[in-house]
Amino acid sequence: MNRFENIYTKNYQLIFNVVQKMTCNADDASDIVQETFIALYQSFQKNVRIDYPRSWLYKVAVNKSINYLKQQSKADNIELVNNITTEENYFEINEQQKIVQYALNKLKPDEKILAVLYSEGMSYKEMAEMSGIKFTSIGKTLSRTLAKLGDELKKLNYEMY
Amino acid sequence: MKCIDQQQLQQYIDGECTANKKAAIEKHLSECTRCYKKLYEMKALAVNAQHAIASLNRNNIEVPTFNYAKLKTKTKKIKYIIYSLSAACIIFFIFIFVDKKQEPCAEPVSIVQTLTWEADANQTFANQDFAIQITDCRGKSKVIYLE
Repeated sequence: MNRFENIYTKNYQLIFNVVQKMTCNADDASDIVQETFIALYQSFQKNVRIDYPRSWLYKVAVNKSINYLKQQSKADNIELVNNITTEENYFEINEQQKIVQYALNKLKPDEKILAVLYSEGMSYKEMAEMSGIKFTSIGKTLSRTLAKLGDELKKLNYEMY
Repeated sequence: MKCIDQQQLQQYIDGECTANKKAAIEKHLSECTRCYKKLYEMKALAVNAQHAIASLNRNNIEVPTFNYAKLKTKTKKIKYIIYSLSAACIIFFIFIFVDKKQEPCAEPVSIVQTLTWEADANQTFANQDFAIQITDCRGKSKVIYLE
């Protein structure tokens, strides 16, 4: 197994999970993940030096997800995105997960990215690098985002601790 | 110290503030029950939000085999599109260029007679500068003096 395939099998699930939480659509998520790995493959072929493939993949996948979300909100498909949880893509997820998905969709693209990255346990520095939000305003945006998300979850009667 | 704002509390919870700041916040928290309560709520919210989002993780995803063929066809497809587009452009420009030269006039040629001054019936045309202006449909015009 070559280096690329090794990275692919090791990181696929991780990257897929991040992207599918941001896009809320399993099909589009797998497309984005494929595109991300294609970009990595092409970089390897061009002999681009990548020291930390995992964070490189994270960065590319997050960027692609941001573009996807911006396109979605530009096309004014917010309603469509909100309804996506009822589509067959998500027939496997339970009610509680649907609520979380719905609450996440209520956030703006930037906030959504931040919330997902926060749940991945990233530091403020990493979040700033990946989301494009200023390092100094991460704390402020994050606290506001979490409050918004918490309100939505409460409204939908999500079972909190 | 006045009460701590949300941003600072969030940084404190995530361990993202400097040692000095941390000490100042902890000192204030020991004195101010309102801020302590707020910290407790925000901590719970952070944990809940992280847990809620993490619940969307799927642990049993089947990793599809990486499709090298797709990679090739994709680049081939792009090449094909570029070639066909450029061919279409060339044909389009040739069509426009050739078309303009060979297209026969759809409108009749207009002839405008202009009299520079009143005609004198007793003199010949040549002596009186009679001119005929001919304009075709493309706006080209020619002035012919009668002799």
